[in-house]
Amino acid sequence: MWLSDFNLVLPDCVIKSGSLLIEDGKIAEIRDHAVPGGVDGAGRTLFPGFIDMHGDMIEQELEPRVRVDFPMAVAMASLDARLAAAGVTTAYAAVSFSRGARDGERRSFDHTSGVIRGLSEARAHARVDHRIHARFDITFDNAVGVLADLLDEGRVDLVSLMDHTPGQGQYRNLEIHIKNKAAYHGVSETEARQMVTTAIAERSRPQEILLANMRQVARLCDSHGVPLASHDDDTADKANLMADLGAVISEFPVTPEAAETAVQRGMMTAMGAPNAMRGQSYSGNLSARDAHGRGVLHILAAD
Amino acid sequence: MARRDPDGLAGSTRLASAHPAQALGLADRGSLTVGKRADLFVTDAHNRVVMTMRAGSVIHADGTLALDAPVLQPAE
Repeated sequence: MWLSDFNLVLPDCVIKSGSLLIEDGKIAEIRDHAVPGGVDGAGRTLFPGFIDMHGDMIEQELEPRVRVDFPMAVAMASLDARLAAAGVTTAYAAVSFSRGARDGERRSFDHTSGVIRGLSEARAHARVDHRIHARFDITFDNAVGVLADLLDEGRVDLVSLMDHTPGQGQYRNLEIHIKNKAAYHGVSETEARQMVTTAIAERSRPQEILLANMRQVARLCDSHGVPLASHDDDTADKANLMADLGAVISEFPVTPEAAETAVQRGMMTAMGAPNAMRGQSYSGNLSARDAHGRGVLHILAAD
Repeated sequence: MARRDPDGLAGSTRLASAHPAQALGLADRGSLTVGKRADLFVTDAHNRVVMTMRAGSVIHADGTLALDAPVLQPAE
């Protein structure tokens, strides 16, 4: 089937009024002029399908209100339709292994494993090519074995190592974090400050344990051929550590220094499309436009 | 981003297609290149997505493009 008279967005240029032939589900030919008898684009624009490496939407579809659980089939149908209508053809659903303060046990590893297995089954009926991005919180020691089981079952396509302990990474500016938290939970700044203090205490681990968790997960990814991403790199040291562990993507670097180090070490950087659209990061960190201007932005993700 | 990218629309599009494909090891997709999977979408003059295809099958269409293409059938 020919698609004719489209602006074709090729990897290095845009062809005006070009044509593209599809055969057996693949692109078979590209021409720089219209062809007779094809689907007439009348000057519309043809893009490669978007690949989103980090979408947080599935967790909201599954739990649209606190403690209101929707069935996977309903959540998946909604997400799938939204993504297809946005031009996304490959989507990595981000699912967290963490004890996030927002959700309490909601994100405990039994729940997370259930979500990943459910997603894995539901994708057979989906329009979009859904994949699974497991977000591993490095302070969650007991989840290493759970992640290993899921990798053995072939249900995980990307792993990121994150640490959402306030005071570093994306939450390195504690005052902004406390203000955002107060607004999110509808509590006073004094109460939010107490929540943050508690979160820091709960998550506190000796550095060796955190490093051991990271090394174990990195080895698991390597042995299963699953790419590893780092998350919220905030210093050159952190980016170097992640590169040493074999990470290929630095997602949401929070300082120019971290982004530049990641690039020097051969990693690709990813930032939030909402950050690029708004011109600023919601947590007051590196702006995607700034990173793009510095030539250190490779990937945009829905986030 | 297209206005800011040194490569314009082609450069900003790579941020959501060729680059993630490369980083994630998806060699079969990520660009409008001969031999790649026909994963693509079409926008109109108002930047609305009017049609999306995965591997040559339509997975979204608002009806404004006169198509004669297979529609993706769900797996049984």
